[in-house]
Amino acid sequence: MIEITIPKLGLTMESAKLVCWEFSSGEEVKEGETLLVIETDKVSFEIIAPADGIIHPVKPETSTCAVEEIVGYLAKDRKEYDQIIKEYPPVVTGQCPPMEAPETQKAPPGVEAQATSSLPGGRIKASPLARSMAAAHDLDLTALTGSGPGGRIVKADILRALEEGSLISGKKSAELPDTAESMGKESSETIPIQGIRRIVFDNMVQSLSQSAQLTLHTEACAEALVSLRERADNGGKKVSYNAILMKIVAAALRRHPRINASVDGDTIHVWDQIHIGLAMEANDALIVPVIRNPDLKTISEIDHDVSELINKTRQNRLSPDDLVNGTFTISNLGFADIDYFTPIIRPPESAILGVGRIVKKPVIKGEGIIPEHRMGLSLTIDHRIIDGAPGAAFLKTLKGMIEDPLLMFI
Amino acid sequence: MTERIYDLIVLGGGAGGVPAAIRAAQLGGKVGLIEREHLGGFCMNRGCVPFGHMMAASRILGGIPLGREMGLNLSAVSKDFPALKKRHNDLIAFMRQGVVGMLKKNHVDIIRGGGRLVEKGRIEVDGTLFQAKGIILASGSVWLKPDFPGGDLKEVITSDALLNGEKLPKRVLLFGRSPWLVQIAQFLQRFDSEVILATKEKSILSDESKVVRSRLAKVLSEEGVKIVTNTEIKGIIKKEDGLYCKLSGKDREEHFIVDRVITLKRGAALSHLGLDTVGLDDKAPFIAVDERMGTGVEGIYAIGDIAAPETRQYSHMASEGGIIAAENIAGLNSSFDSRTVTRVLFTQPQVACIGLTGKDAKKRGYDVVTGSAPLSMNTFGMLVSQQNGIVEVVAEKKYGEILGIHLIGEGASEMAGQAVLAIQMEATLEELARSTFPHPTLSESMAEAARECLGRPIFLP
Repeated sequence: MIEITIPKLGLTMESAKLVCWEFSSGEEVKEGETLLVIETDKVSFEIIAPADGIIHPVKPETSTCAVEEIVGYLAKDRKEYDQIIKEYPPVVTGQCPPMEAPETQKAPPGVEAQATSSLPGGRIKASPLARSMAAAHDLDLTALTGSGPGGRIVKADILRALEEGSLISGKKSAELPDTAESMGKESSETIPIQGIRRIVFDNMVQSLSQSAQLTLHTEACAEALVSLRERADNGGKKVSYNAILMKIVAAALRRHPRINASVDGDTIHVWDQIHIGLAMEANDALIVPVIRNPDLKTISEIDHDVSELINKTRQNRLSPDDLVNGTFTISNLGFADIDYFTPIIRPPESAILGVGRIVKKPVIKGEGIIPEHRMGLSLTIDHRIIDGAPGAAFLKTLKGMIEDPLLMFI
Repeated sequence: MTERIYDLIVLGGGAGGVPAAIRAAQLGGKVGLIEREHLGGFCMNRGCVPFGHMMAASRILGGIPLGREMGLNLSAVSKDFPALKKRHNDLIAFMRQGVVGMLKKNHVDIIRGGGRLVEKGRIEVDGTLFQAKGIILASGSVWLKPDFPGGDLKEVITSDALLNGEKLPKRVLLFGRSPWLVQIAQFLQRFDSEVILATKEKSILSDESKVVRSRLAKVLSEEGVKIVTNTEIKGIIKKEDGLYCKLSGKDREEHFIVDRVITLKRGAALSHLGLDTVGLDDKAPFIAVDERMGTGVEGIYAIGDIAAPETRQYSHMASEGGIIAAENIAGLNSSFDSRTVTRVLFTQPQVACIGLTGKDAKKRGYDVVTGSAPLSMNTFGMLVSQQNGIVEVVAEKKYGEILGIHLIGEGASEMAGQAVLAIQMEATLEELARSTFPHPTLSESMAEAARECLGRPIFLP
């Protein structure tokens, strides 16, 4: 018998929410298959089967579990499984597909979860409104689970089904009612604000409502950056602009330490270490993994760290430790042909650099016009603690180092 | 210090706390209920019960002219306020005993004293510590000091002073936005006071459907209640012959001489609860809760007036909230259905409003259809002279979802129950239109209003 426990995914992690079990009690699992999904406030994580066996979950879905807490048992055979189930009561599982449904609409674990909407004789318990809505959207009521009293299908269940969109049967979307011209507006998709989206949502609002953000724009010559990237060969692979920029930003922060600071109540902490976050899009969410001490690393080392974090992000393997304790952030929208934007500070940081695309532009040099690689830079600072002039000075240092990276060493 | 351990402690034995305690006990919990004063809370001791009783008497009085029309020779009617009070006091004493009985039957421990949180899961009552996995805050509301000049005069009173007084005041100014002021205004008028009902809002019951509030205002004015809207009290000066009240609005100033000014502003009773010890804000106007009655602090729930804005202080909300909180603490997963909260007034005609008004529904983006059926067109309405009554149904066109039902008329508070059931069961216009209500009853108008929404009224001209 193997105990399935909540792993400690990071130094700061104390508990996790058990999102869902992929198997229910008594099912056979193979080594390497995902047993369950857990979620901390920063990442979700799949726990895989350490061996072949028969699974018996003992913690219900949506419950919060401490690190190291036992959430289930893996029996090596039926005999052992029969022993386990005598000792530990089973819990309700199998909510995985509708995991986006708001928690409150789910049946309480182990209590009314067995209630069904279908009655013997084929009658389905559903409210008249739910029937009317289902008919209008061509929803199959037998495919729905009711959350109303006694498992009755109610309006909330239909709305949830429509949000999931998976149950629309029969008609193709083009034939669905009301997608044609209409004076009104109806949502084609309703997405619950929760999980990482909720965290981004709250952070952004908190950022803009609790600090005074000023964005400064400038344009730098990117010729040196382009040629540095050409020359800096990282084992046959070019380093990324982000890695070079991170090194430059770290060097500029050393010259302007007050930018590398946070507000904490009535005091300002100027941080000794530099940890720079790199904003990236992954699985439809904003993730900002943090590179530690880029000022002490070579560009190749930074590039290696960045690639590693990108891989972890794509594979959903980020640990909470990869995301905390940033002191500055870089957000690069150059890939989308953006020149300038107003990035939003990630509290408790006090500044963020927005990086625009590198593009050839005509530039007046002497009496002539020459083509030159240029890039847009947008620096947002928290004006509560960084005034416009020191912010601009930092940006100027940055611009200088981008145009002539040798300045980093002076 | 000894410590007693419970599954659930309910702080406050009123309209919310008592059902919460009983429901938790039904679900197998060991429950303690803390009450400082009288079980039953404001509702039973100083609110719904005595005033419901007074309004019932006022309704009987209001029925006398109809009785005379019907040929009942009612001789001169006299009004004995002390006798009325004695009857409701007897009833209240009886009901309090009933509450104790219900709690005992369910093995709920009644803890006498004032409770105060000392940390998560711990409450102190007069030196004794209690520990509980779940805590429900249900300590209700307290009177708020009026904020107009002269508000601290002893002649500026609340409904408590009406209940405690031997006589009713001769000349009264009722000021504020509490719906309760409206019914007290009618009661006092019918018990021979001169009544001025004044509000800062553009009308009485300003949030309610226009057909309802304008009909009620008309009735009150006809009975002699002077209604002043869009106004504020600018000053009250006490002289020998009464309180000189200066009211001033946008374009006019009015002066009234009265014996008493009544205000009914109540706010969540947050102080002395130790909310800060668990991280809750004791300076907020009330405790914000989610639909599961959770406060955001694990294991701490809040229900009733302590968790409601001034416009939502209703006993029935408190009771339902209590049951939901108790169920969630016991591990079930219940949520409050805010669609079905009834705003009710026991005036004559009664007023009951459930759900959205047509205006609110449009604001929320619904494609709205409304239908109404006046009780003056209803058979029984004609028999009992319901000229001012009406049923208004607000629905959404696409699915026929019923969004609101607004009632004014005899028995509106009872008809409201049918409306609540219809909305809670998610009946559409079609079901409501096809409900076969008994004849002759006022309820028939509810089906007729639904039919009007569907464009097929039967009994309307």
